[in-house]
Amino acid sequence: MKERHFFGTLEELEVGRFCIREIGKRSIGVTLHQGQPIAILNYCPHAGSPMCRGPIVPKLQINKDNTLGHDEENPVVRCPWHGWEFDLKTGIAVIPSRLKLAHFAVEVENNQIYILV
Amino acid sequence: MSYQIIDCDVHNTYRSQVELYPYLEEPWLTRLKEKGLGYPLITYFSSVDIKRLDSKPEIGTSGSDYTLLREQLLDRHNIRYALLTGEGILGLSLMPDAAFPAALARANNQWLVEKWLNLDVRFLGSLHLAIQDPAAAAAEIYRWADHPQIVQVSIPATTQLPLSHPFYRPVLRAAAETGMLIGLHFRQVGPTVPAITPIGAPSNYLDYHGLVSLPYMSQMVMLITSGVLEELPALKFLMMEGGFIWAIHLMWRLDKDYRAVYRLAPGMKKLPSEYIRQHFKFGLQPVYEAPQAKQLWDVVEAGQLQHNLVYSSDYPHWDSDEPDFINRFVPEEWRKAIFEENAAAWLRPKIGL
Ligand code: FES
Repeated sequence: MKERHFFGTLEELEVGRFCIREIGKRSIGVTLHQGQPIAILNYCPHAGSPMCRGPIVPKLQINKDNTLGHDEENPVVRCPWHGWEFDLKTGIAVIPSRLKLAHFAVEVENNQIYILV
Repeated sequence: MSYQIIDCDVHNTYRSQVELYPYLEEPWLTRLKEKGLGYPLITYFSSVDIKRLDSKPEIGTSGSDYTLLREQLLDRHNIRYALLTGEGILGLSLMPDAAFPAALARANNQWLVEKWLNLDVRFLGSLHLAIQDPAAAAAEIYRWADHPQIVQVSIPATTQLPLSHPFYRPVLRAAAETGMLIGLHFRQVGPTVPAITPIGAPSNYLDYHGLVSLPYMSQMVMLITSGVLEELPALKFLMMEGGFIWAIHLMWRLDKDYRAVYRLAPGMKKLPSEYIRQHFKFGLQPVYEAPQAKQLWDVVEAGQLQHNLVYSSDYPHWDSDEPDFINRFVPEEWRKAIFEENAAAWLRPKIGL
């Protein structure tokens, strides 16, 4: 049974970076993407870095004509240690791996953010 | 099994070059103030920062703050000894002139002792040199021979001539006579740094980082075949950040070739693989992440390299490996060797293990 924990308010969140807090024994980072909070465990599945201290950057986009661009709709989190990138929304590694970011369900009520852990 | 951890590659640095000023005499002090070191410190672009993002102190660059380094590395991982290898200063040996880099090397080494080694008995130090003036470099090694924490001289893996060339013999002799290890590290490209491939410069950081083994391989082959390891049997090389699976390739290939063409290497008295096992140790970092962790150790055993690998974190660089991570790849019965004994065997009598 998941427990609901108060994390903070929407005003405290920023696009492009994580707000990191301790929830119980876990360190969890929450950021905003397209108006919605996204919560992930502050722990890289590769070797255990504080994942949420890494930058959130647009995914590299390779266009049909082979030009390069940025996919602003689909940001990735880049690990602050070895640089692996993971899709912010799905947690899936950009370069295929069985390792994935751990996400938490989030509920928002009256600007208050709750994490289900 | 209990063991202590010796970390053979920790990159400490200064907040800014100003820290070197008190140790530099004129006219070099003015030159440093006005023109800096005189070679580029970062050349290849990488999409990933060169240092772990969480290692940056409030003031200065990663690796420049003793308190943070102690907290993130020494205390967190219970490191018994950390061999400091410096940062950025390795390019001294590849500068086109000789006197300025030699003065910088002396200043750097004095700074190392006063600002780092004196702070913590867990620190061991690596001297930096300007090997383009071998006599001055040798004198610098002898100057520090008796310092209880200085155990190594650091030399770039890419050099203008092979290290086995007679030109560098004073440096090798000084290291052998003082019992210092020779730590080879790679040095990023710059106007005076030889390309690491025979087909021209790697085109980007991914190419470069994938190919850094090449100069280490070249140095090792020629050190063996030149006979210098017979002439100076106390030589010990720590090959850092350059990988090691290629050492197995070289052992098997050179042993085979040597049986036929040994006449070309009259200074040698035994098989190439025996020199490798006796005179070379390799940092595990960046650890090879084989598809299955166990496969790496299978390869190590096939090459009988269990006693030639040492733990190195490479803190605070982006590809650093923490001890827990390494434990995924090293079976329990070999951890004492990797984390402690293989390095300790070369660092005694200067360390108390
Ligand atoms: S710990 Fe995140 S990529 Fe290695």
